[in-house]
Amino acid sequence: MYQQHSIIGLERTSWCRWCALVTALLIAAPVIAREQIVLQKSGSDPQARGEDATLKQASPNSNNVGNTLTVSGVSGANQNAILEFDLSRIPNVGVKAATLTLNVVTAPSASVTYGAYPVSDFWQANAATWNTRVATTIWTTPGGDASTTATGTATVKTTSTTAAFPVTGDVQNWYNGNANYGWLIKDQSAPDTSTTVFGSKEASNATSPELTVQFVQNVTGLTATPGNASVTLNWTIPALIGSPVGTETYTGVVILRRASSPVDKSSYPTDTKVPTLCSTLGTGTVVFVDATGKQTFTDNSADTCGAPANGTTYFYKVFLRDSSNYYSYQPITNGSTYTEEISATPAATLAAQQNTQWIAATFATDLASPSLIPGSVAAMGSQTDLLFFINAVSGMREFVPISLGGSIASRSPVIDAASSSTGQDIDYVTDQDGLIYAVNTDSGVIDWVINPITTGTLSLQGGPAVQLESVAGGSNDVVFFGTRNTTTTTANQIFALNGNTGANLSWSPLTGPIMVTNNSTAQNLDIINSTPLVDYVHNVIWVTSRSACGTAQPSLWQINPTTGATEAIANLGDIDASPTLSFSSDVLFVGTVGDSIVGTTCTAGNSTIYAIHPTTGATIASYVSTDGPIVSYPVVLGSAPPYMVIFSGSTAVHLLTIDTSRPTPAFAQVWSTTIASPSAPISYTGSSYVYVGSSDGTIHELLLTTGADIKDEITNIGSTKGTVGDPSIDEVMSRIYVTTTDQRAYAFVIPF
Amino acid sequence: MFRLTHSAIRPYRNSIFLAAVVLFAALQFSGCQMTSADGGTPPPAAPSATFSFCYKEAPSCDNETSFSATATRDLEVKVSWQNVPAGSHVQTLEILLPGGNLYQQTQMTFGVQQGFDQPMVAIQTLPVAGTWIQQRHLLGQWTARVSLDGQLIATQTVELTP
Repeated sequence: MYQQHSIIGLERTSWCRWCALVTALLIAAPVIAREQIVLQKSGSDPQARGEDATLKQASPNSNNVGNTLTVSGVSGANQNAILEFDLSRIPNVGVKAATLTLNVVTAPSASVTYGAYPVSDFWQANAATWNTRVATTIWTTPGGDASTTATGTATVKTTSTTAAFPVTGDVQNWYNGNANYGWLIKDQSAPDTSTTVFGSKEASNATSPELTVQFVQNVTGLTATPGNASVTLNWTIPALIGSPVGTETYTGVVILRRASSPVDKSSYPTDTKVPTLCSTLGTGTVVFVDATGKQTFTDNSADTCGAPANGTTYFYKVFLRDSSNYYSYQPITNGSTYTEEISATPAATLAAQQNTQWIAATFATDLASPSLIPGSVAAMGSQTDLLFFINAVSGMREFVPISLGGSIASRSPVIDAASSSTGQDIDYVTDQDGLIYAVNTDSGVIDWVINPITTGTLSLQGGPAVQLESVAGGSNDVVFFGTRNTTTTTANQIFALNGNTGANLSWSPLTGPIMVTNNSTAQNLDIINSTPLVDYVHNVIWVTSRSACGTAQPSLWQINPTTGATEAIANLGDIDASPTLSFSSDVLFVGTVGDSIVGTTCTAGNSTIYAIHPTTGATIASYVSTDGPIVSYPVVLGSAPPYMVIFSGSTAVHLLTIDTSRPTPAFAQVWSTTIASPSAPISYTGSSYVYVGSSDGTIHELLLTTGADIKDEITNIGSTKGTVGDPSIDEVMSRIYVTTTDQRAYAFVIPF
Repeated sequence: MFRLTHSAIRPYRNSIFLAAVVLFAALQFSGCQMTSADGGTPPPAAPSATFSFCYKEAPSCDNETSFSATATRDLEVKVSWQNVPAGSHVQTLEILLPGGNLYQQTQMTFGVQQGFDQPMVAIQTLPVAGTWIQQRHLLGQWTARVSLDGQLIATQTVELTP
């Protein structure tokens, strides 16, 4: 945070002392980082994700987006400007300085000081008013929710043409895991009679707001290749994306190494200083210091800091440096979480060697399987309100993470442009702020955001499912999701939204108790933790729910997507897992939590796996597990019966078979393989392997035929070891992607 | 997922405000007597916060320190604030996993009126039933950490058991 120096304080100081101080500071301060960019709407930068508006106290419910931004301290008629920049041009950088500049259109009648306050809640320009921030959601504080302390201030005089606010701390925080909701510009001495009009994003490009950022880029193309007691790193020193500051150039890198766990966020070289080779910086050892532009380093027996040992996994963090020794990280107190890193495990044999394809920071826990446009983009949420789009090839951010309103605790489906009724690559997201979003994955622009109820806030946990118009017909894609309102076991809701606009379908929402076709009794709807399933063959939506810790009310629901009619139900007991269909949609598989009421307490039990008739919802067969609740969802392999059903319980991964073509089908267990707190498994028809994450910090590769645990790939097995989440397989890249509780996403080649 | 409650009853706000104004005026007149040892005005008490953790469904909060992940649908994390100066403030609540990795971080804004000196309680709901906490057995000693306007104020642990 910036501390604004008092003008009065300077006046009390003698002129000579002031000159001496400034001179000393100029001599002491080195030239700041080497690249600079000015973000401002232009022909080449539409600032597509940029937004601004004026919030007017006198018309508290009016939305004011126009050619100007007004800030006023007039009592009873205060006006605050709110604005946010699109940082997409600089997605992979360490920020060293930032200045917000507003261009004055109409100067105030007297000198006035304004503050730039970081906004603390999600808002949308087309909905923001003095009272509301998005849809029907109000600000906690009318006039905008923001920090009580201005990050930077600017004094605007009657002759001023610009107002410049130092905002370095905020921009560094945004690159370090905090959500970016932009700034609120307020009159610091309100009430007064001053009003200033600034240019807005909608104004001519020349007067729209500017954000000047000085930064050091990250290296690109970072790879690690293990050998026998060696690891070779390669990277590329990037070309400039901004203007050089002074004559500085990128000169090389500093590399930190750590065994078993990634180098933590508090470990980095100090700007302007050159670390000593083999010194320790936090949790990392400096193993490479170069200022000659090298783009490769082999860590082997020649390493004076200690050669890598076979069988140990090494994590490398690569800091690009410039000629003034500024490095690619944010120099802030709680550490820098985004600098390129990679890992490899050397070994004597090729079979035992392993390496990550990339590692990407996600800032908080996410255990949902990343969603994909295979070979292109991996998308993942974060419980710091951020949505990431990672280049599947390089692991670099496609753009700066998108700041949403709440934690994202589920998989958000990505639809490619050829399949989507929007004609865009689109990601549908639910968050714990009760909002649903459609996000363009190419630009990061939020196409729409909806609070689908007019008052109040939905509780959402499970992700949305999308019925594609390109497959199912109709006029647009439809987005389905259910609520997790724990204050009721009877009246949760199922929503269906127009995928192009976010509008509720005519029957949406269904609210429990729900009438069911051919059933005279309305059925209670408990909380929904799962993502619905679209069955294109039977044109129905399957939803699973809890059922008040018993079987007295339904937990499996079959909904007609056109009419909203509930056509079938099943009372199977609490279900948290999403259901899965066989390839030809002739059987639905679902696993229960297995809990039950003991005394007055809902008590843990063991999952039952059901094979369900896809038309009637009747049980075809069931299998009672002895391994606790099922994790996430079952996986079904085979294009025709007999099917293989793989699922994870509390301590193991299990493979069942079932031949549903027989008159009385039954599950048969094939194998169980013990894995510490396994994730959902993943495989695909034609693969010889099953992959599963674990709380031991690794991904296990199991042989499909026997369940033998033949090889593990290490994400993090050291002191910051994380639990590995549900994997996703990218068949185009032959890669597997996981997120973990160590606040990172990892990519590996498959088979291991 | 956030909500904010004031322990004060709304109709009393004006009288509290009036009392504060009177007290403020009195302090101005007697300012020379109300000084600290170094001759300045006594510094205001620093903001402080205390945590309590509750079953969301429970009719009352017993501020337990250990919860069964199986039997808990939602955990309420209540942050009780005192001595928060007037103005708009941003609370940042971090929920850390056993081992210290960040599970979730949330922000909320709240305003304190001039002269309003009643404790305020900010409540965040942490979903448990059916979440990764339950499915992946993220059990053990969790840590809640709360900051006000970027300054760390309080830390508290809570146990999640099977």
